[in-house]
Amino acid sequence: MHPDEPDWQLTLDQQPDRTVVTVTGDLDLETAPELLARTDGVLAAGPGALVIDLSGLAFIDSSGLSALIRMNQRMAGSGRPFEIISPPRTVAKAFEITGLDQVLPLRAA
Amino acid sequence: MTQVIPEPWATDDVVVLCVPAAGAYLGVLRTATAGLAARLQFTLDEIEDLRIAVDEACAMLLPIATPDAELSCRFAVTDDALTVETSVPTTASGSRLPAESFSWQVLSALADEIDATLNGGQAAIRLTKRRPK
Repeated sequence: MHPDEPDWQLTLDQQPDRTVVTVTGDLDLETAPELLARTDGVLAAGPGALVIDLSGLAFIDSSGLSALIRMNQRMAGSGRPFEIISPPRTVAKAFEITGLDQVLPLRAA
Repeated sequence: MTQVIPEPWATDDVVVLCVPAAGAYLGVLRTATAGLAARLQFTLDEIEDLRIAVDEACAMLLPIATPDAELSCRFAVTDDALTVETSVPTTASGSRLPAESFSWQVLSALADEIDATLNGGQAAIRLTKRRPK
């Protein structure tokens, strides 16, 4: 017995100078490892910037935040630009209460 | 399978939700939490706090649950607060609940009171959010 597929979706748009990853739905214990797995190639290979578009994100918890921290560390380690854009208000709040809005490269819409 | 079990000894102010102890069911519990909190006149911000808090509490318990365990979420409503007690059967012993973890910090920022217990083969995290006046 399993519930319906988690309400989340990930798309990768690979452009010449950057990759835009759009995450929609819920980013939690279940889906955060998926995000890391499916962006592993982009994180490892480069070159170019990585942009995470959260405009369609409905929920994020500490698992999701941890995944973004790891992505930020890997991008910083390889000296490539990394940006998290357009978190909706409820999602932005999770960054604020954890103080991660001061640490991660967040940009409003 | 999701079950709503009315507790025979309780008034209508307690709701217990049991789901398999698996990450795939966190969404079910978040939705139930938001629905219940909305009926209790919590503000939108407080509903969001509760949704994340219950998710964090459950996510902390899942790694220490026994295989094929059920995760229980007990929502108790009083005049001034909503208390959610999440629990799983576990074989973990000692104080293995990660009180210094990132999840715990998030949880403490969102709930008015939190408490973790581990005894009798049961790990539980209880959180309380005061109701709007």
